[in-house]
Amino acid sequence: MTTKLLFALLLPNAPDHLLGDLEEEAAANGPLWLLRHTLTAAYHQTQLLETAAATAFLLALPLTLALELRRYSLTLIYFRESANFTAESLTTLTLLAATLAALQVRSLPNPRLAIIAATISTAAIAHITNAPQILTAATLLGGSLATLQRKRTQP
Amino acid sequence: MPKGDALGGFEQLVLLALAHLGDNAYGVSIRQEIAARTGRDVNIGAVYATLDRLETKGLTRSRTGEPTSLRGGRSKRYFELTAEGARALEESVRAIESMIRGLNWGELG
Repeated sequence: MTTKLLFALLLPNAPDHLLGDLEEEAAANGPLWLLRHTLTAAYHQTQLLETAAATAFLLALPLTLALELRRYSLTLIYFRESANFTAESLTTLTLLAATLAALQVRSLPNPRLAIIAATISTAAIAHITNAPQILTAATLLGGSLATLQRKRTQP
Repeated sequence: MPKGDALGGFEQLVLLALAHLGDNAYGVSIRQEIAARTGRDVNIGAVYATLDRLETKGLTRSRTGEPTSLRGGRSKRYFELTAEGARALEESVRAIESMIRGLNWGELG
């Protein structure tokens, strides 16, 4: 299950034989070996941007939860009612929004539709969490750049 | 082989691994063969990037094997040298041998 999730996040378009090789060797070498070699394989598969986004997603999700649980336990106010963001939570939220945007840009076949969807979802996140709307503009820009990058690296 | 298509160092290692492995040359065995003989921790992604480049140059060819349960039901991709690949490898190795000849390792560095 963990292996499938790792492959889906880091090597979404990788050929079957590469995933099979990683799975075959992981049985003898363990999960850390698999993580390291999957990350490096993603780099070699020219999915650097997507790897960065997916890695950020893997880190950002637990970090966001931990930060917001801590904030909740300290202040006993709901997340959406607080407009005063700490630098850490804003950075994490930005990473999360950017990662969701990158995943949508990657998974939806039509690039324009993907950028529109990513922009709308980020606007919704910013609205719900009271985060600055500049995130939405950043997503629009990031999504467009990611699409251009993909066009350059994938024939 | 055109001048600009000279084999790189890692390309040589991959082609030599194919030559050693014969019919059993696929991602895992190639990676392990290079690691065992050179002591380098080679990444499978780097091996496939190189194999794809070599196949584009016409120096290797590949075929898909049967899926196995050990690999989550995924197939292996077997590689072999083409005649042109074997020639390019031989030329490349001879060039290195020629450059090495006459060197006194004790006097270097």
